[in-house]
Order: sequence, then C-alpha cells, then structure tokens
Amino acid sequence: MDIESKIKEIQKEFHNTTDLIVRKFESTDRTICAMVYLDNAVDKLLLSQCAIEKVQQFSFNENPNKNIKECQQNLIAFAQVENVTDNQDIIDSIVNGFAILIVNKCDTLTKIGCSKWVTRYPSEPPTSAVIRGPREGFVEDISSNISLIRKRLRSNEFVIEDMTLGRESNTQIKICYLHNVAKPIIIQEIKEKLQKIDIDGIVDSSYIASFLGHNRHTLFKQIGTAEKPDIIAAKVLEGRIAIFVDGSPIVLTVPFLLFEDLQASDDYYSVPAKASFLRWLRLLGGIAAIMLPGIYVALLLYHYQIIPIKFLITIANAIEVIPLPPFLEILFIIFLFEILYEASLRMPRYLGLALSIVGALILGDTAVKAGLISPPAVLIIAITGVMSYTIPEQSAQITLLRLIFTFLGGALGLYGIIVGGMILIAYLANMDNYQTPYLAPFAPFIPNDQKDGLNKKPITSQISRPESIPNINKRRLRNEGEDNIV
Amino acid sequence: MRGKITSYEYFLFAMYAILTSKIMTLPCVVYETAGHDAIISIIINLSLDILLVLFITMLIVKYPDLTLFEFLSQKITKVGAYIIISILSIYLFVKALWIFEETYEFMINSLFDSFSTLGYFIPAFFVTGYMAIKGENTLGRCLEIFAFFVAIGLFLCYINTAGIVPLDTNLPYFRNGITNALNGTLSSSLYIGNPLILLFFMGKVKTTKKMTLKTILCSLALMFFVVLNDFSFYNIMGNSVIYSSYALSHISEFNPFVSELGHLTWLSIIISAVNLFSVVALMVYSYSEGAKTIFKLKNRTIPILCSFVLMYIICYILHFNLSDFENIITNYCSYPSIIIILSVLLLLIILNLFRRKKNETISN
Repeated sequence: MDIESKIKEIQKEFHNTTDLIVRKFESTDRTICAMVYLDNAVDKLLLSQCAIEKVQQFSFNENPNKNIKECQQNLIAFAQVENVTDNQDIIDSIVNGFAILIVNKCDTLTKIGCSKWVTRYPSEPPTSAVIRGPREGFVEDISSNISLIRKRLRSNEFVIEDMTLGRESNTQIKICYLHNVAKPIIIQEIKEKLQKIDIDGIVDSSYIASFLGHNRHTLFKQIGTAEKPDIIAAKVLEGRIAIFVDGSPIVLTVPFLLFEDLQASDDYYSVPAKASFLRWLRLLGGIAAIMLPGIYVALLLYHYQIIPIKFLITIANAIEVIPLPPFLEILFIIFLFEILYEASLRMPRYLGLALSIVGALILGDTAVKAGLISPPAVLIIAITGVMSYTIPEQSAQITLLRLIFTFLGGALGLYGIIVGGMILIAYLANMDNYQTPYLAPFAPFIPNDQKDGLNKKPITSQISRPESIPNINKRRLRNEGEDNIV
Repeated sequence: MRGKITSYEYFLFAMYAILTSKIMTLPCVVYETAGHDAIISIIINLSLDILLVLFITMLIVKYPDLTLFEFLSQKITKVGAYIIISILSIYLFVKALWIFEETYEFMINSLFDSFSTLGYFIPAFFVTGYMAIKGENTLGRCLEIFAFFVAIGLFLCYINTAGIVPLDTNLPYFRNGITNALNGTLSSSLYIGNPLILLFFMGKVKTTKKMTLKTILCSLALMFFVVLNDFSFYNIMGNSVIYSSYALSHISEFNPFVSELGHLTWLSIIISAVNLFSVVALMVYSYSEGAKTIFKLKNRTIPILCSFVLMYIICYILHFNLSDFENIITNYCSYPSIIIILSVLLLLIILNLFRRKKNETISN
C-alpha cells in the first residue's frame, strides 16, 4: 500500500480538517511511516515517546508486511494496539482519540489507543452537597466515571455494555447493571430503546433521557439522575440500570420512582429518625410550594369566611390599599420572583449577588411601600419559593404546578384546588415506566418498601430489595451462615 | 405491575363505597322520615351494604379468574348476563348522577355564594372521567393516596368530639315499633347498594388468603365509625338535625380542638369532595364497563362521554335543583332501588351456595 495515497484518502475523508495531524518519519531501514491523529485528542508526549520513537529505532528489513506484527506486539508500549479492519474503522478510531500508524508498502494499519481528552478531576458536585458521606462526583469523562463506580462495586456480577450513539457525535454510552440482580427484560427494553435512537448528536445525557421515557410529552421526570458514584452504586444494588454518557457528569438510572427525589444521600449516612423527619419535611414542603399561592388566592377571592378572624383582619388591613386583585397580585409576584431567579442564575457571580440584593430587598420593599403588592402575598411567594428547593430535582415541575394551581384557585376557588389535586394524583398514578408504578411504594402500597419510605428504618432491617424495582434477586441482607437465596 | 388490582385496593373500593354520603347528607335525609329512630335506619342501611360486600367478596375469591359477564354467562346464560349487567349499569348511572348533583348542591351551600353549573360539572366530569377511563389500576392507586388524606381529615374532624356528646337525646328508640326505621331505610334506599360496583371488578383482583375475613372486619370497623359519627351528630343537634344537611361539617364545628384553630369546616368539605368524586369515578368505571360489555366496545371512553352529556342534559332539564331530584328519587326510585339491592343480594347468596365445579373456567 502506498503511504501517500492512504494519507490523502484519510485527509479526504476528514475534508482536509486542520486538526488532523500527519506526522511522517522514517525507521532505521529508511521505511517511510506516518502517524495520523487528531490534534488535542491524543496524548502527544506519550505517543511520541512510546510509539514514534520506538518505530524510528525499528527496522522493517524491507518487508513491513512480515515485521509489522512484531512491531505491534513488542515495540509499541501502549495497552491498546490493534489492526484496523476497514476505512470506517479508521475514521471511528481517529475520532475516538486513536492514532493510526501507516507504514509504507505495508497492507496492515495499526491503531494505537492513546486518547487524552480535556477533563477535570472528580470533585463534590454543586447540586448534591452532603454534610456526611462521600464527596466524589462524576466528571465529563466516561472512563473516569466508570472507574469511580467500579471502585465501589468490585464484583464480577457488575456488567458494562457499550454502545455508540449520534451520527456526528459518536458518543460513547455505557449501560451498567448487576447481572445477578437487574431484571433482564428491563435491560433488553433499554437496549432496544437506545438502539432505535438515530440522531445526529448526543451532547448530554438529558438527550438520552428524553428517548428513554415512555411518555415524551409529560411534565414529570421519568428517568432518575445522579451526579455521585455512591448514589449510583446504591441504585444499581437495588436492581436499577445505570446509563453513562460520555461528556456528561449526570448519570441516568432506570426505572425511576417519584419518591426517589424525596430521598437524599445524607439520609443513608445519618440516623433513620432524622432521615424520616427530613423526608416528611420535603414532602410537605413540596406540597405547600405547589398549593399555597393557589389556596391563598382562593381564600381571598371566594372563601374569606373560613379564614380565622385574626388572620382575616391582618390580611384585610394589608390588602386594603392594593390596586390589584389577589389573583393578579400573586401572579405578578410569582413572575417577578422567577425573573429575578433566572437573571441571578445567568449573571456573573458577583453581579448575581448584587442583583439578588436589589431584587429581593430594594424592589420588594419598595413595591410593598408603594402599595403595589401586599406583605402577605410577598411572604407567601417567598415561602413557597424557598420550599420548592426542599426537593431541588423537582423545582422546575413545582414552579409550573404552582402557576397552574394559582390559576385554578383564582378561577374555581377551593373546588379548583381539590379537583386539580385529584387530577394531578390520578395523572401520576397512571404513569408506569419499565414495569414500575411511578407512585410506588405508596400507590400501589408495598409494605416491604416502606422500610425505606417516608419513615426510614435502619439498614439492618432492610432484608430484601425494594419490590417496586423489578429485580431477580430479592434478598439483600443475609444472616450469618445463610446461603444465597434468590 | 399493571394487571389485576391488589386485594388492598379492592378493600379500599369497598370502604369508599360504604362510606360515600353516610357521614354527610344521609343522617339528615333519614331523620326527616325516621325521626328519633334514624340511627336504627342507618344501621340497617350499613348492614345491607356490608352483606353486599361480604357476598361479592366471597364470589370474587371463589371465581378469581372470571369476569362478571363470564360468570353470569355460565350460571344464567348470556341473555341473563346481559339483562343483569344492563340493570346494574343503569342503576349505577342514576346513583352517579345523584352524587354529582348532591356534591354540586354541597359546593354551593358550603363554598360559594353562586357558582356556574359548567364551572362545577366540567372539572367534575374531567376528574372522574379521567380516573374511570384509565382503568382499575389507576383508580386503585388514586384511592390509595386519597385514603391517606381522608383518614387524616376524619381524624382531625373527630378528635375530642366524643367527650362532648350527650347520650340520651333521642332515647327511647322504637317509639312506633320498627316502622319508622324501615321507612327511613326505604326513603334513603339510593344511599344503599354502592358496593354493587365491586361486581364489576370480578376477575380483576389478586385474591389473597383470608381476604373475605379481612374485608368484612374492616367493613364492620367502618360501620362502627359511621354509626358513631351519626349517633354523635343526632345527639349533639337534637331536633335541629333537619336544618343541618351536612353532618360532618356540623360535627367539626363542635370540635373544640379544631374550632380553636379557626373555621376548619373546610376540612370536611375537602374530605367529602374527595370521597364523593372517588366513589363517582368507581361508579362511572363500573357502568362504562357494563356498557363496554353490552355493546362490545374496545374501550370505555365513548360510553363515559355519552353518559356525561346525558347527565348534564338531565341536570339542565331539572334546573340543577336538588329538591327536584329528591322528589323524583323519593317518588320513583326508592322501591326499584331497594328491589334491585335485595334481588342482587338474594342472587349472590344463592350463587355463593353452589360449589365451584372443577371445569369452570373462562368461557370466551
């Protein structure tokens, strides 16, 4: 094979992109060789020391076809050195950070695994800070993430399956599960769903999550997410399947229950009684964050007679001079709150801080003093704004539901709130994902799973795996001398 | 996990069906006819309901794999099955309509000075229709969640009430023999027979050991609770019962613990609304399942939509007035209703007497 024509062929496949590097050199017997790779995708120093320098010192004895095998086996000091099969393999290897060794008049091309992508070190994720427990978090590099999870599940039953998705992005996907726990039918269903994805690029794991959910138009999260290896390890141990996506620090888990978002990793590292208390607090906080503005509007507009008289007098005095009706007033404050939140999130950190002070203190205070909005309404929205972050993973849903319930309260009063609540529960109760009811273990009620429900029991009493999650190995905790019970 | 409902969900269906309006509007309605013997009427009403639950549960446990239609086809031919399912479906349609209208009246009296009929009926149809269309699993799961709120609400309404109840307000009972009590039962016959919905869940329940016993024990416990509520209500209110249409709301007004917090009668409003809409959803599911069987439809959507349109037209003709409804119900529906209940009860007793043959399986 003529080296020049092969190089031109590869360059043509890559449309003469400038970051495709062709490094030509000669071996001791003057055989022309070339190393082709993508700039910034490989470890150039290592490639130079462990491959190029070694080949330069090698002699092909004018018979490269015969000696290339020796060069691959004994010379190139990389863990992954393989023959390239065809043109598509060349392209796939180069884009995945391999270097291709071409030797003049040699029919065999060699790919060398020396990828080095820009990445960061595992650190505590900003969304899952803990007081106790491990602080490591996933990063954007899939190999590092797999290493973090392997460190926690050192078992031959822990299986990783590879897949590549995205026509242009060629994103690496890894499906991980415990072979003796996860239900094969669920694994199969996930693989089939992933194989059906034909998209140009997967930029983040959220792209995959959209395809894995059964109901694509729902407001609610259908796939679990976590940024910490200890959480993923715990979920895999319960029989869930984890999906890692290269370039994303967010790992997906399937199946997902709504209740998972009420659990925090801190719960498992502190006393069960405190965990139970915090779970109840999160639940009540979430419900109040959704319904409180709607109930406030409903009471003021239609049912003021059921407000205790002392409260009524206080509220009546406060809203006496307000030009807006309660419904519009609450809507105005909700929008103001959301705008301030959105702006402070996008602003540079120091400007964001200033904006928060201006928004929360100056704007709010001035609006109240000017008689545009009343203190009770500001208080209601401030409380619900804070409460919505008791379940941070559901804060987006809570914000939208809060708006819906405010409309219902404004239009139909308490009746609207009751009917809205019933429809919301019916909608959630109707959702099933991967043979798992969305509201399990409460609807349907599964007594065994209540041990890790709202009232958390110690790990010593959690003998079996959750029944809500389909699995093939029920037993989790074994007594001394007891055999493996499946 | 979709498929048959759990025995716990079935048990909740039975509880909701028994409870319905029995702690809200029934006490006042019965008192108008039965007077001081109203509580006896209520005990008779509840006993009939519990007997229905008992025999239907026994049948479900005996034939766990047969639906109502399959079972009736085997026992009394297909024509007989169609006739019985049609009668039950029409009966449950009337009951659902009655509860819709009752809840509307309740909303107007408790929550709003004036309220548009469409503003009430469209959301009510939507929530009950949605639950019924989505099927028995969704219904079961919803009722599991609602049960939690209803239980807490009832507990708050009753806490500390028992201590202030005088016990001798209506004594002695049976002043005119049993006649008043029986008249009370007859006048409130449309409040009885809600457990008939359970028949439509035949073949859709995962039966468990001692399911019948557990269901009956819990039904008896619920009966005790309802009797306690209505007994407290009659004794607290005395002769002014006839002016107090909503028992639970009035009871909670006499609750010193709750009244210290303010006018928390709204709690009873929420409990009642959730409870009534849940029962209506069960009824809508049941009669639409009947219509699906009779007309060999693929799903329940069309019968449910048609029934809602029909309900609204009937309500419109009657000017959405509960007293007009009450007149019609009292004049035309009391006897047919009690006849249907007693006939079905008799039929259930007879059917339960037969032993299941080994070769009795799904016919279609």
